[in-house]
Amino acid sequence: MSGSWRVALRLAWRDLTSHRLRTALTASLIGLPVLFAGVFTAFGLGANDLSFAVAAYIPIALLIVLLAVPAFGVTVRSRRDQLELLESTGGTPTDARRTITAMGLVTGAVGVAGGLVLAVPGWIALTAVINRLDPEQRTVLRFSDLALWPLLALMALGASVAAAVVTASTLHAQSDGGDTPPSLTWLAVGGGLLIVGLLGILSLRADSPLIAPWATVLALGAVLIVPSLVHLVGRAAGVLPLAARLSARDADRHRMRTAPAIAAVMVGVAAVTALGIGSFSDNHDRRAESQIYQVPVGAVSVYSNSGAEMADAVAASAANDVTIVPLATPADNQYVSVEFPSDFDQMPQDQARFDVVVADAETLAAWGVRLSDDAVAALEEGKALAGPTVAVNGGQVRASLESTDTNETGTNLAIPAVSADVKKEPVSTGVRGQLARLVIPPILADSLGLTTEARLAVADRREPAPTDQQVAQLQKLPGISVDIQTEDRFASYRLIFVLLTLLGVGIVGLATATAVALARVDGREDADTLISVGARPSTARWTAATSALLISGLGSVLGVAVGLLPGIRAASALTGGFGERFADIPWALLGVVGVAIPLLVAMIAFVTAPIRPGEAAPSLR
Amino acid sequence: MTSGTTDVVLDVAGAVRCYPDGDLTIRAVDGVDLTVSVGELVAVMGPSGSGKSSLLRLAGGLDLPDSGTVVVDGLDLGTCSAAALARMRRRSAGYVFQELNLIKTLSLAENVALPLELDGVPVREAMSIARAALSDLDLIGAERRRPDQVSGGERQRAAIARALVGERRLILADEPTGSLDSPTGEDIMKRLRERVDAGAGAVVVTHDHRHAAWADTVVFLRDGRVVDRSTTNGSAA
Repeated sequence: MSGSWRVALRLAWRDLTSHRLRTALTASLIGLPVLFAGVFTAFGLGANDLSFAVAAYIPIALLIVLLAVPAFGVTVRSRRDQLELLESTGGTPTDARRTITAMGLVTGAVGVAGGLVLAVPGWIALTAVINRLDPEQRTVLRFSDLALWPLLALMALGASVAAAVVTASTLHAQSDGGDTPPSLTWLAVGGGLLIVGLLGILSLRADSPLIAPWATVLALGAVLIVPSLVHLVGRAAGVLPLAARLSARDADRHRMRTAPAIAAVMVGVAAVTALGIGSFSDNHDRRAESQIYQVPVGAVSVYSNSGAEMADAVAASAANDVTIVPLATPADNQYVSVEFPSDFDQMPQDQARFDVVVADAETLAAWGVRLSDDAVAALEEGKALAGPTVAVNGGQVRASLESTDTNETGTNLAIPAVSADVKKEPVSTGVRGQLARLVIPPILADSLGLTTEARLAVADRREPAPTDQQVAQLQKLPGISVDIQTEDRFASYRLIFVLLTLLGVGIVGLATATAVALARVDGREDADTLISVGARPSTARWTAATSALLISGLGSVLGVAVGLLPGIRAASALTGGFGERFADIPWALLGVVGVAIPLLVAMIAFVTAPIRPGEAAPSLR
Repeated sequence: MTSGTTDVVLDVAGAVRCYPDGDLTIRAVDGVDLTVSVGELVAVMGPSGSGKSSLLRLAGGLDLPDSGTVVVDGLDLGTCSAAALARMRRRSAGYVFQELNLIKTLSLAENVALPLELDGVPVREAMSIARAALSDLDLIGAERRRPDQVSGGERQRAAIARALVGERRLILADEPTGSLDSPTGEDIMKRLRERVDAGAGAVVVTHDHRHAAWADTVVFLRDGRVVDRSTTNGSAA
């Protein structure tokens, strides 16, 4: 190691340890994304997902650069006299830059180590919470899931050093700011990337996996236009009240500090927005898919190879204190074709699990169908219950009964029926799905000459669910298989996604608050000047609050806007299992990240604003 | 004590202010008595570290004494709320900082108008008064410029204009001529004198005996204590 680097590292270390609060804030801006990425990838990725991990870590690295550049800028501005002293005692500008780079290295190492150390209990705690809330997930802790952490650490550390290098290379611009307008070139490049990103996302097929790269282009474009937006706000500040005017102009003048902070909040919020829309939509879709296509039954289903074996299973389970209720359907050698209504093509999709079942009201109740009194009466009168996809004309349903054993033409049937809701109730909350298109009471089935067979049964939904021991006993019976169907507890990553999204919200909140705190540290002399010339406590508070709101609010609103389209497109890619693609936008979540967090941060800034001379800058002379 | 119209605009009685300095405690201001009336300009002199700036901060309500009292325009600063102190700084006492402390994001006129605007004066009117104050200090044409766009002397005059603007009866200046050449420094002192003669009291910290000659009273501090007081004719010109 050269003498120059030795001196740089020593100076950096001394500076960082003598200003522990500022160092801790800067390190936390690096550590928080690492914490999130560490916990996220411990659940989402395995050691074999290297390419996906790199794609996931690139936005994290970008976020670290954006968060760290203003933080290092604050450090450099407050230590400018020391850096100048270094040059005046024989150092070169390179030595000064190396000192800043060394700060990035040391702070980055502290932040990365802290983030990963905290990610371990975070990972363990999240696993415990998931298993407690949803035992079906059976999430286990495997250290192999942490195989990508060294890569994360390297990329985060590299991002920290890159941020320091950017800060060092703009040392001359890290002054007290100025009136120079932002570069039109970067604005044009940013605008171009924004448009390209938008068009790229819009041009994708709904199920395309290429959303992430286009979303990154979109976010990068937005990042590049943030300085111009801040400048615009600063230029328009003349018409604003004093507190807002001061905040807007200060933000404009110190764009080196504020623009990256706003961009960082924006990227974080955009990620949470996209993640939220994607995961909530996926969850919604999986739930709908599960309700419709899986057996719409109770907690335990029993399948058998024949009606006789099912009858044995019913008897055996009764001896085992479990009520098994079979559902009869037309026998294999019969096919009942029921007429559809004329407007079937225009009807909302509501597929039924069965076409025709033969059951009485008691059986239906055991299967979770809640019938109206009229429907129960109709069944008792020997009338069929017709769902919405069956044409009922003059109190009759037209159908044909065909035998699959012969080539004879089917017998036309006129089945007395009433329209009725035959949707079964989900086990817990969820979508109510059609059990069958047509329910024929047994007495009517006999008169129609319909032969039936019951090879599918459920544990009576009105009784407590069978215990594990009772299920184990059932599984020992010959010729049947037992399936535990948990309609609202399908195997999904919902809980993980929701918890990770909440973790992301928390981290965005903390990062926003930290960025605002650093901006306040940087602007404390102006704050104290304002107080010393007679600003009311309320004016001082409002100035602090509007400064915070500018960074957190602008960043959050832009973040929601930038994350919305990729999130919706990602949702389209993830959904569609049920047929229709859709995006379930979690407005409450967006409200939290787009409105509540900025307001909370502004409120904290308001409450904690210095209102007496010397509180903001004790050294004001 | 309540605010009221009186000839005494500053009354410091037995003020003590201590600061920690490593393991030691420094008595920066150690039992100082000082009274300033309307029409009186007091110069405070003394070596570095003698407590001049600390005394001025107490007088301006930027710091509070550990013991003793500081009364500005009839208002006992030790018993005031933060809001009352702020009102005092807007209406009663103007402060010229050693480092000027102009807000860099505001133009010179906006900086000068700041105390007025903070006091509820409409922006247009405040700016008009500020431009007149800048004009009085020969800063015509620089109103729209920001502090980093003008010379050190112009910044200094703008800081003084901010302290003079409005109806304040007490001017506190911490080395207001520190970064100025002699003629400009003399000019600044002359203008302060004029303002005092027009109906204000002033305390000016200075190292320069020629500038102190503009004062009615010169107070010498050493180790936080008043070691000498002398009176002059208050007219160096």
